[in-house]
Amino acid sequence: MPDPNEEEKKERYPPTTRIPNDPPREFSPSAAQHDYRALQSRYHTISQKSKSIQLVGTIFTIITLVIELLIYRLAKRVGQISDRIQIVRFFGIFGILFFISIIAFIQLVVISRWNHQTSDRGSGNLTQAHYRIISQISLIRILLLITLVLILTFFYIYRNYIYFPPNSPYPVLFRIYRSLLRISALLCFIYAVFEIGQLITWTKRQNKIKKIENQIAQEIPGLDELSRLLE
Amino acid sequence: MASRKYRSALILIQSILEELMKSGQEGMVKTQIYKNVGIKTAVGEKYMEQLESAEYLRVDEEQWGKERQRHRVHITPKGKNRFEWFIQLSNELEV
Repeated sequence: MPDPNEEEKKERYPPTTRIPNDPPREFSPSAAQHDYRALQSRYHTISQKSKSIQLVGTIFTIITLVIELLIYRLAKRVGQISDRIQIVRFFGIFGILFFISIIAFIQLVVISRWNHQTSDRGSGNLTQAHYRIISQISLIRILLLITLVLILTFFYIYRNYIYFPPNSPYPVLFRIYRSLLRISALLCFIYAVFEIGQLITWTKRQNKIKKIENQIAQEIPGLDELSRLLE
Repeated sequence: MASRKYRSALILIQSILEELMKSGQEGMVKTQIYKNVGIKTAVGEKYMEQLESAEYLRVDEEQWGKERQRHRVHITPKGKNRFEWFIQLSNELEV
């Protein structure tokens, strides 16, 4: 006696053409599923691009940490032969670089988490990933602004407070110090340009999201009531 | 700011649209949607009503067994477009 469930199954899921050596598939992807996957892929590409860009911050962090280490060793050597005020004056500026590195690292962590969520290994839920990054856009912008302020401070101190005495008893040390300072200044300049670009990008995204949400709010007149249901 | 006030509701709307996008042409029954997005039926019904009147989705009745009927929800092209708006991050879209 034929099984009615089998009959119903055959009606709902007609057999598809099987390609030899491929596992049989019960469903062929519908247009909307394909659209969803394409959208997911596009979104993941954008987040991956953000992560790649943020890697610039990591490279900056690594290079400045190397410079910090060299400066530290230099400061230790000079510390044996100079007074503390001079040391703070000359080497304190690199403390600013250290803070910039920390902020760059935090940004990388935030963006990497977002990128992971949008990947296949992540939650697979675009809405969650999207709103998580939206809730962090303000944090990202604040971090970017702090970085730019720190870089400006670095240049201010570099221009106004770093003075090399003409007949220094330690010419080699000061030459090394001056080279490291110049490399740091160049890195800071490049990084500042990069951060300004990121600030503009994230600000535009935040504005666009607000615009879209307001537009949606206009299309759904009962949104007020719907919001209250969730309180 | 209007959008911040309605953020929770917008997230839920987007979640519903996402579930419908994932289900494709098959659509999804209401109870399954409510279960997937984690809301109660009473709340879900209100959302369905609003989204249907905004033409983001359409609800079809289908026969279920001999005497019962159930509601299967499908996303509309407008709903699909709005979902794409929600997660638009690049700059091509002009709203």
